[in-house]
Amino acid sequence: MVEFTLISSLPFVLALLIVWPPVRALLGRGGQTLLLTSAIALMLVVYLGYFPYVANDQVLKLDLPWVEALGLHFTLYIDGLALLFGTIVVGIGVAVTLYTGFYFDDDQETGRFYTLLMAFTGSMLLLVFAGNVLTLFIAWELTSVISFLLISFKGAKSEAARVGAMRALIITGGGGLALIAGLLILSAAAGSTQFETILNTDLRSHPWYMGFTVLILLGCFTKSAQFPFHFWLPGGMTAPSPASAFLHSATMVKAGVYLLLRLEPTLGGSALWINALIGIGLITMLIGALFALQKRDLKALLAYSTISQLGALVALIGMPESAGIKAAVIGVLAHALYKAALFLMAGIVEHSTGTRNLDKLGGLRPLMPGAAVITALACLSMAGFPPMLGFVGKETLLDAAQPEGLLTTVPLIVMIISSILTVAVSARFAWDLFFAPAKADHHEHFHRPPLGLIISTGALAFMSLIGGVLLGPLIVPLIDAAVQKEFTLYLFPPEGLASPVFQTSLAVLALGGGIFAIRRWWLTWPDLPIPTGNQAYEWVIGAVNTCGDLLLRTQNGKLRHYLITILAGLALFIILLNFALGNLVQLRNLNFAFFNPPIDALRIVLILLAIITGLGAIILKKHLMAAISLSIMGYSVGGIFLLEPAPDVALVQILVETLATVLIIIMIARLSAKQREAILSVRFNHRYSVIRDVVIAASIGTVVGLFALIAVENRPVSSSINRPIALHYLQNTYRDLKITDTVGGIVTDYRGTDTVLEITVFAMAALGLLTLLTRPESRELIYGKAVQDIDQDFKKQVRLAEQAEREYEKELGVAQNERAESRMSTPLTRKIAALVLPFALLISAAHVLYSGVAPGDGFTAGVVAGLAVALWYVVYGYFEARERLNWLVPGRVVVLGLVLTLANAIMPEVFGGQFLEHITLSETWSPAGLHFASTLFFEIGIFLTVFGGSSIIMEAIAHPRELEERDIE
Amino acid sequence: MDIPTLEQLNLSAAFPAISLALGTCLLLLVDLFLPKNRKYLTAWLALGGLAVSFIFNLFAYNSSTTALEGMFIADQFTGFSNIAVIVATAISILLSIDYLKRHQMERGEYYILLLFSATGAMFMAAANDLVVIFVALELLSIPLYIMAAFRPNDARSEESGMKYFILGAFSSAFLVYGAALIYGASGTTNLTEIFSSVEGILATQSASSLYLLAGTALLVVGLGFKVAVVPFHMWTPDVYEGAPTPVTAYMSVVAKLGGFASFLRVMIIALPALALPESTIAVWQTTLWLIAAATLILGNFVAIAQTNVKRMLAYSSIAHAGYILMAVAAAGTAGLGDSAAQAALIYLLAYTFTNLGAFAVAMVLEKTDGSNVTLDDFIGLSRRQPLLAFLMAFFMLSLIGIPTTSGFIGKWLVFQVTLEAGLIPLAIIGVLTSVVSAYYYVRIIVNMYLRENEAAVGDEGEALPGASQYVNWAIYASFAGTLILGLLPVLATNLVNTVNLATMFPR
Repeated sequence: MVEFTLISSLPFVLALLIVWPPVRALLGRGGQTLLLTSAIALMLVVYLGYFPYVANDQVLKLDLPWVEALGLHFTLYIDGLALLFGTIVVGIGVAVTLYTGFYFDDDQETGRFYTLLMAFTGSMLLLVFAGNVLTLFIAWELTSVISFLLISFKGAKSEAARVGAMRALIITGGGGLALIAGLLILSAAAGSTQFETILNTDLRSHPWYMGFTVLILLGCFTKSAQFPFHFWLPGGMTAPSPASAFLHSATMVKAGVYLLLRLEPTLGGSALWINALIGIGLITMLIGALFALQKRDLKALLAYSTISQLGALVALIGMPESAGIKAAVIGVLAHALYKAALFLMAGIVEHSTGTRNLDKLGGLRPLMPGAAVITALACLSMAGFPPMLGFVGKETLLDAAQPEGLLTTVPLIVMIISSILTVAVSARFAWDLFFAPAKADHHEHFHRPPLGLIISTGALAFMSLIGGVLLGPLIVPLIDAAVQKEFTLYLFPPEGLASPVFQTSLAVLALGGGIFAIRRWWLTWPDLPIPTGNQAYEWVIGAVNTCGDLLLRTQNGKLRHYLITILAGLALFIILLNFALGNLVQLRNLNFAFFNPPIDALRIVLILLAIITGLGAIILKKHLMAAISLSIMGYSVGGIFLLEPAPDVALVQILVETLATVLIIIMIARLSAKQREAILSVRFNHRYSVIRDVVIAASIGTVVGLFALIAVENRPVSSSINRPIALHYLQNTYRDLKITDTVGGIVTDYRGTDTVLEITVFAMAALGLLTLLTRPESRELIYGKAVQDIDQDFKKQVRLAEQAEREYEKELGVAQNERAESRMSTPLTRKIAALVLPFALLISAAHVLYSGVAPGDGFTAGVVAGLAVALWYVVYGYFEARERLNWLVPGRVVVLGLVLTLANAIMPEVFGGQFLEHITLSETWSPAGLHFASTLFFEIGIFLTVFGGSSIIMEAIAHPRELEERDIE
Repeated sequence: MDIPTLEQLNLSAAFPAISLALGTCLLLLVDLFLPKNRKYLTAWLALGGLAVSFIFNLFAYNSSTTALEGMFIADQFTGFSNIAVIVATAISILLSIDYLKRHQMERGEYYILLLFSATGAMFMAAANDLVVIFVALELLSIPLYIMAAFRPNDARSEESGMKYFILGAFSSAFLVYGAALIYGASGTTNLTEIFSSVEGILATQSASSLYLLAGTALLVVGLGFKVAVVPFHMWTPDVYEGAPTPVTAYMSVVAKLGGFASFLRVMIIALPALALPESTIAVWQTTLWLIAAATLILGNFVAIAQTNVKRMLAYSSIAHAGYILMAVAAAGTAGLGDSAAQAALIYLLAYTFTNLGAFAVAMVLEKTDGSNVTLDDFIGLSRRQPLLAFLMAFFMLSLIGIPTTSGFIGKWLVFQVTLEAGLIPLAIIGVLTSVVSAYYYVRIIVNMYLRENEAAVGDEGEALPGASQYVNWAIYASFAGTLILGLLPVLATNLVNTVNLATMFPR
């Protein structure tokens, strides 16, 4: 067995050898031909010698672990069927290899072709000897890829050739993927990927039978060019003739037939199997023969005739009770011999005359007498003329299709019609090419084919004759090994001429001859309007392209749409998961008893306002309006908090809302007129997008709302205090901290560590913004410098840019009073702004000082002060504001605040206390109701950090550097 | 709380990742002293750092222990992911050296960001804690945002970085929210401990099960964004196209490596038992396989409509995320966690080599202004550059999943585990979309081999603006990886033979 494997891997070794140019150069063309032909011939002899070992259903096996951990094996499984196919591969291979040595004009091409040819031979042998699903699939796809490379061997000069090559790869390669899916499911059903196990398991009644059978049939039908996938084969005829002879008639296209034969014992016999194989097979057989009839191109004619034969083989395998297996096996052998010879002959004719068009050819017999004899022999075999091997094939075919009822006469009739047409096709090939009068003078550019071409082709054709004549001693042992059933095989039926099959065969020949005789009449008929799979293929490809284009529209480059998709996806998943877990979470069990707020007019108004403005933010058509609507919603929510009563939360909410609004206004003021125009104008026109946005917003809102409801109902209960935490805090704040503001207590003490971390993150974010929002050059100019040091040139640049901006606005027709800056900078606003900052700082100080006893804390203080700074930038403009704020260096404020906070947290540790320990002084000294404790410093630190941070943001946004690059053409 | 001792932290188990982090910090210092015109030295030092980490990884490879108080797992899963990350980063560095110089963006920070990001990916693969996952995710992502916008004065690069940043920050928030909800439900962020609390939570049928559920959904969103699965994929093509090509190549593999490693850990270690009563199939399986199917369909179909190869590869990377997600979905069936993790890991390694190779070839053709990477620019490449065309063809075949390439091994394992999990419709969608994918990958091969360039072929120098010795090394390395993994998958499968996420800890 090991020897067998080594011999079978010979083609791969040879391919690797001659892929190297030095080896090719060393061998020369003759050397390559000699080496490769003798190697393949040696393999043929060896394979023939192995037949006794596989007779009587014996099997040779080889099993090498490949990836053992994952159950991947490299397995060979060689029974009579596999060995017969292997023998056909190397048998035809010998002739093709010899032929190739004389076919190409160019040495370089010969070498390249030989490499591919050997790789293909190896892959094809691997395919037929494969012992498990994976090995088979690998070989299957390898043959598809090499076929593609051979089809495009000479480079595709025309669009049609390119399409053809691509089509062949997509259909056979794609079919291969369907096959592997089918085989994998089959393996799952059989419990093993090994053919040995699969073949000994009856899977016909498995629940997945339908699924994997259809997938496997898809794979086989695409590979073996069955209707409606048959059209790739004629499209693949741009391959060099030896490749067409070898791959596209004798071996590769038979891979599907081989696999069907291989799996027939396991899968065959079901209604699905019988109907699919006989139905598709017969259609293919008939269509192939019909199309072949009128073809002018020799290779196209042969291609369609091959399709017809493949159809016949598939139909035979589908016969109930394995009746057609014998005929299929002998058909494979006979067809391989004569069809390869004819393809090679087409190559010779093209080689010698420069054309393959039957309309231009004819009368070649005097020029190539040997070729004429060879062609005649091969065509006689194809037509099924006794005593050729093809005749035996046709006889067994008709025998297998013997009707048993009215319905089963249909296959017989179709087969007879197709056979008659095939006779006519064979006659056209042989007669019109060699014996009919010449249509053009070939003498001028005719050159005699090299002897090697004639010998290799002739060998195949003579084998058709010898195989028929010496049927008993030569062919029967091969078929015997391959067919598991008992069978009889004979050239002439024992009944003699009385046999109905024999009579039918002769009638077919006569009728075929008759149709050939009247060819002048039908040859010019228009093509039959039979739909070919090609239109479907084009349609599918078109549909795939359209799908791509349609899906592409979801990708429009707009950030907000991307965000919408993410949100929508999230809502969908939560809903999906909820359905999946449906009976675990029962929302109707929710208890709304807790939700019992006092209902009053103000509350209702605020809630309605929040809802309406929320909706407004979605449906209002202008960006600015939507933004304002959003802020109003924020204020309403703040109001609701205030009524709750949750004054701390309300304060923060309102301040943050104000800050955000101010930021938007500053940004709008800083935009160029053109950009401002865009932002103030309609933001969408599409009614559907509004509906979409409302739906998405509503679903996200529902999801989040649901969480909130459930969270409120299930208030966390601390295990250590065994009651709701909120209650615990409310009752114990004063006892623990001597302050009355529970929120302040939580922020500065109970969750003090969190606050420290948060404020650190905030400071980092602010400092990060400082670097992110500024360019190195302008940072050097502005930040960290007193304003009088600002480069006068820079100021000048900015002024110029501003002037240009104004002119542009004039052109646009923006009235002076509509300009944001001019509207904001009036004497009154200037006065107000001047007052606001000190006031704000005062309020901040109050917030900080009374943080322990009243709502408000360092954070709100920082925001209030930051807002006042923002107002200055809006009212005074950047330069004046910077001049007035000369004392404020925000970066330093942030750092100072951070240091203070951290120091306050760490200090107690230094003096032997704990991290963030609370030290209170208020019991000994508390003037004016103030509460003095270490938390005060903590609050001051927070205030400074937030104040500095918001100042940084304001300054960065108000900075005029953007003017430099404004789009003001 | 007691402060743990160094021994308790078991730092040595986490050394591959820690050494890379330390090395990067060191490099940050060294880079300051390198003169501006010799920044390529940083690249070599970065490679050295990777090599050191690789060696540490070899020592830690077959360990099976935790470090940093159970927050970090050192096992074969970690080791294998580390190898993939290190290899991908090294190849990306080779791709970058010449590219940065040509685009006048040669700055030492680039390599440092790259290494930080790689460190993040390594921590993600090892994280056994939701908080660590989040921190590692940010460590992985933030350098990527910056690198995406690294090309100076190029609006597309800036747009790419900005989009990535905003959407990335957005989805990180989902991840944190999800982690918080799961913490709320289970009281822990440790994956192993979450697992042990899941059954109890489900048994009570309380609100906590909804939290667990919603938390899981939010985690899927956060991680799904990182690995670019539908519908969280939309940033991918824009970012891939705009970012500098070596960065695109890098993030197309390393972000996926980190993201999927965490995905697998969370789903297989923490949440496999999130199932209906009496069921052995986790509830998230349905969701994940629907996402996977949508990802496969969208990624593969839209890739067809692309003419820019970088964009095409972006959609192809979305599609490949779909294939890997097939394995994650399969892990939802009880007992398949380990084989699903193995399949996903091998797929990731195979994809790493192949995709880096494909991007490298695209980079060789790309001109400094970012042009010359359309499908038409590949026309006739086999005549001009036979070797390059062959390699590209090989990468394309591997992306399709043709046998003897690594792509095939990955697909084979993933399909196998999907079928074992009984997700037959998903497997069939996977196969059919593979056929679709053949269509656009083969188009490149057709252009290279079967079409002649009608326009006169420019001189050789112009034809290959991005060629350099280092890029060639990168391409050869990718090719070797793709080929060896395809021919001898046993090398890779032996490396994951004891991956046991589902069984590492006594349950």
